[in-house]
Amino acid sequence: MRYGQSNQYILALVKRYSAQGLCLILVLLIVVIGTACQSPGTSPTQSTETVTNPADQTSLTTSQSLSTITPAMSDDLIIPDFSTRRFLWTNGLTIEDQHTSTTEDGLTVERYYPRLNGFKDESVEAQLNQQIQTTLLSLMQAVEADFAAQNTDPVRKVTTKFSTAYVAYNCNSVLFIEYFAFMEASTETEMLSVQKNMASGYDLNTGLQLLLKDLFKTDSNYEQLINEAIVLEIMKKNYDDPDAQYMSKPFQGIREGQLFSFDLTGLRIMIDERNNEFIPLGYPVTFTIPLRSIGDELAIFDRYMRQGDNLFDQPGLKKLLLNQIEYAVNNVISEYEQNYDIYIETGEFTGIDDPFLKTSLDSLNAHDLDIDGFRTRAQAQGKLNPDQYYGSLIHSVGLMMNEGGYLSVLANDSSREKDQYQHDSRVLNVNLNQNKNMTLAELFVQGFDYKQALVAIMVNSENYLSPDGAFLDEAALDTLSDTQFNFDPYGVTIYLVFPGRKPFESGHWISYEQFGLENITLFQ
Amino acid sequence: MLALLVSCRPATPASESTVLNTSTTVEVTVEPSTAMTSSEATAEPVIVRPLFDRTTYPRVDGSTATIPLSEHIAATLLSLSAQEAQTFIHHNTTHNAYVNLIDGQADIIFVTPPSTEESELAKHKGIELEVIPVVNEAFVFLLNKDNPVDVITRKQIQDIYQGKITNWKDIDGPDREIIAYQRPDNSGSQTLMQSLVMGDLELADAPSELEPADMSGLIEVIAAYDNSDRAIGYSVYYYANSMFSKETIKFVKVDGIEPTNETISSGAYPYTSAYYAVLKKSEPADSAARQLLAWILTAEGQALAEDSGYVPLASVNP
Repeated sequence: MRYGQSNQYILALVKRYSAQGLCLILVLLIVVIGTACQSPGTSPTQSTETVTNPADQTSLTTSQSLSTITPAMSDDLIIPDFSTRRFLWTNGLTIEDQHTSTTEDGLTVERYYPRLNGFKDESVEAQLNQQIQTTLLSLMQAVEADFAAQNTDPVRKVTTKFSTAYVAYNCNSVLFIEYFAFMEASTETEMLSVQKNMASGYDLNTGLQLLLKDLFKTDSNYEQLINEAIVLEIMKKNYDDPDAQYMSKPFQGIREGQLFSFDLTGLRIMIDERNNEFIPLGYPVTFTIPLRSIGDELAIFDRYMRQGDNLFDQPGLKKLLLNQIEYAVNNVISEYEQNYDIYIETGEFTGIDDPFLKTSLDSLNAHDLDIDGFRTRAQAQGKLNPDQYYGSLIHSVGLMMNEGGYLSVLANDSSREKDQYQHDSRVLNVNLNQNKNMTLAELFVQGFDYKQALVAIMVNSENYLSPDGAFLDEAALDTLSDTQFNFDPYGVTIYLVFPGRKPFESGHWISYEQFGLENITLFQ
Repeated sequence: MLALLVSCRPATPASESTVLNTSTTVEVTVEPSTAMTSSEATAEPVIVRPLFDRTTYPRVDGSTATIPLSEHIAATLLSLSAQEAQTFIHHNTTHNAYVNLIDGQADIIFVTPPSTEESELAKHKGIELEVIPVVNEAFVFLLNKDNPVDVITRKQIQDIYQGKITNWKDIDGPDREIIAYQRPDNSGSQTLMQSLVMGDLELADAPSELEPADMSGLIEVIAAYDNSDRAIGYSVYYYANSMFSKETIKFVKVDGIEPTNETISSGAYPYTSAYYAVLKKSEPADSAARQLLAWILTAEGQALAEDSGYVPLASVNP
């Protein structure tokens, strides 16, 4: 399963005054829906559940009244350290991208939104789908109202109008939807555009919207945490500069009811009109606080997650989280001259406790390319024959996979001097959960014949050709190596060796879906 | 200092005012039962709050950082709501404000001092500018709260930013490398750093980091202050004082002086600057712009400025 995502999404600000009516509508909806979700004829019961977090095999005991809408208090939850968290569970939903086009005064108005399917409780499903529609419509109406207020030129003709909603986060019984609406009009000499954005998070147990505090542990000083993160971002972006045109006064802190969204990059604070210290820029301003910074303060991954009582028709899949390991490029030699090119990128792996792994990774970062010698020769050649291309020298390290306790790294070194071409690639695939290097076979569940699957996918397929442009045959797949491969969150790259060709010259990427996600160990 | 106006007569209707042709002055401080002696008649006059309406209010412009000051002044003098003041006041940023003033599109602007370019522009147009401080500002240095260093001298700051002092232990701190963060070139903060702090001394190369470029690859950018325990950075007091919770970031006590409203107003804190009102020197003495400026420099005006988040001047007129 993969969740669909609208192709166009841009975040914009929601003007407070035009969103007030929207908030009232949402509140009314929540009240009505909250009542509707209660089964008639049942009395409130108190139950104690033991919830096992499948991600960490930790038993969580929650006391929760089935008739209340209050999330479990985090002091009842056992929340693991964020650094040990490897994955979440996607909600067992099918998300279908919907698109409608209507015509208004000769203008085509586009609407993009997701349709959610797969709730056991169809009333919650209907409620959420309706809420998505209502929110998107209200946002567009707010844009129209703002536009009408600002458009003093009757000649100015509306040229673009669209709205989108998309699923930003869909894990552990929580859903975040982001909304955007845009309208633009222009004359020959000027243009007026209005855009708004907003987001809503939902507890899928009840269909009710989440407040910012619901994401955090009960005893968390989350407001201070968020404000301090934003202040550092303000400094990073130089918004606090006396000559900058971003802020008329110091940051006043997040407001009550601050707009926010959430996904696996982190918590996103969305600046709106109430944050009047920010000068309106005509485009959205958001501050993203990385998960790594707030992970230990969060309760969102555990508070709403229930095991043994799946909310959905289908089970979820693992959604891998970023590892603590990072690769930061800290030096780049980038020379693009008339007759030669040099691009050497080196960096540092951090967040590694295992000295053996650190040594292995650092070895990928190292290279023995003769940069100075190549440059000298190229420059000398350039003086003699300035119009003749001499060659190139490249070194780079790519961290292809860095999630869920899995690492896949590819280091490339290549040099081309006149007619001499040399290429060397090195790979490292590691399962940090088992503290061992990983083979291609271990990417697939036991019993799955991945080699046969590759034959079915690649042989005689126009999508997978040899370097000479020919269809692949089974003999080509015989060169498949169990160690020379890379993988990423969405697929695997295998390297086949062809006659007269060097290893790693021919890489083919196959998506996990082509194998069937149920056959990939990453998601089981 | 400022000329103060005193009326020894009972308050007269606006139409009988002899002062202005575009606005009317109204007495603020009134002690009607006290007869004035001849000595009192020659005492410093009391600035009165000018009585403007929307049509007689001077055309104001300025920098982004002085918008709250402008709005609050307009709200007070025109009895506007905060929202009305936001709609009424438009600042077009520092340089544009200078251009508007020089071109006669603005009567008074609230800005930082003119740049060389702006001074040249005025000179070219035959305009002489009058630059008067209206509120104080200061340049402050930031440290992580957990850094045991509290006091840094001016000389040490210069040495740090020249790259001569590179370890906190050299200034009685822990044995840890100093990361002296800077701001982008040509930014206001960087200009203040050079002019107020470094003078003729050359700044060392700023720490840099690589960021994805817009199109592809990586570009080197000035690294931003990260509040690590090795970091020192800087900002302007107007923004910094209210933004930081002081639970994670603290201000350096330069030469032992902590930047506060009091130490900045008094001049005790060494790195002070100001925001200024700028008018044409040819602006008539009784013009709306002059009246506005005079009132800002009164105790009432300065109290309003402080209420707006700015540091008042050391001494003001009553």
